[in-house]
Amino acid sequence: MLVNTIRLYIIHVSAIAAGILGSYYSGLDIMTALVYLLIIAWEARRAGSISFRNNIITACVWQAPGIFFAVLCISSFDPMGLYEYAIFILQFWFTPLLGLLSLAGINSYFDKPLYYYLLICLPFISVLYYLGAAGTSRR
Amino acid sequence: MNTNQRRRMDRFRLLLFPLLTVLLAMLLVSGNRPVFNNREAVFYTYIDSAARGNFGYGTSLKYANNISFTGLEKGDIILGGYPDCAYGRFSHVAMYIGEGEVIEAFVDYGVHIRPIEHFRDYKYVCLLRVQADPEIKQQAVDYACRFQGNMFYALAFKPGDRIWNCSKVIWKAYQEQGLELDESGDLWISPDIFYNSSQTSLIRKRGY
Repeated sequence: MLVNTIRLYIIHVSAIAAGILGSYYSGLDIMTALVYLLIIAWEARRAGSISFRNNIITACVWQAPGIFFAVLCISSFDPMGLYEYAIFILQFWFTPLLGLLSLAGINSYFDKPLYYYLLICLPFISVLYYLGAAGTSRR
Repeated sequence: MNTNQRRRMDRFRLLLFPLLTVLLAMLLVSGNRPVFNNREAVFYTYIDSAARGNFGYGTSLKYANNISFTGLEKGDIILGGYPDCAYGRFSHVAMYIGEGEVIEAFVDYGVHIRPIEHFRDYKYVCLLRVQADPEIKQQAVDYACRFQGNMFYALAFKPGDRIWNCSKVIWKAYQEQGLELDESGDLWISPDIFYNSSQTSLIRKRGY
């Protein structure tokens, strides 16, 4: 479980760096986002033999930074003055998916663009994605 | 798949993005050597600020500056700054589009239009006029407004039209009309480049 979590962090953090650099080249950010999703699914399938409970823990620990800043965004909790930077940090955390997020469309709902709401939900969607992919290797 | 193949695939997945990062970094640096050789580039400004513990757009309080917005014309540029901004004196920029409104980009609104009055919250504020014909400035305003709703990302590079930051919207709007406001040739656009541009003139300022 610990090994899987560390692997996820290494992949995710290096995908942040690759995502930032990839955004310089037209379309490469979308390709890196798709590759990122494939790699995470592959990692999840690798962990298919681990118990569902341990996979939940792995996924939640992996997305702990995202979950923390998503909760900050929707609450008025302001630890160490982080509240005003929460959405920035949340967006940086999901840089691996930047290319796909940018395709979310230009419509706004309650004054906020769709990508804003996607960013808030992404930590939880990522956990479910990981669990879903891990589940497919158990069948 | 046998054990050795499985281990190789495990290593491949783990190393793919680190190797891609190194490759992309080498490509980016080799294709933009003049930028990385320029100690004034915003990249180094940010590194120096980060070394001092400044990472964001500065100490944001409601400073209630008393700058007057009278006489603004469409296409004028408004800069706002907080103390300790990591990427220059100014942390935000918008373009006046008329009727008391500006077009700008921010993380939780994307590229959007809002009243100009929120620039009273900044400690440093500055109004600039681009030296161009009114028709050119109107075209720049129209161009920027086409990207309403598009995504904001703080580190948006100059190339591309899916990802924007507050400075890139305005820089690109004028660049498309044949005016290059960035004389540094940097990879990113920061608000300070408009202040430093020889193609803008100061209308008025407050706070510094």
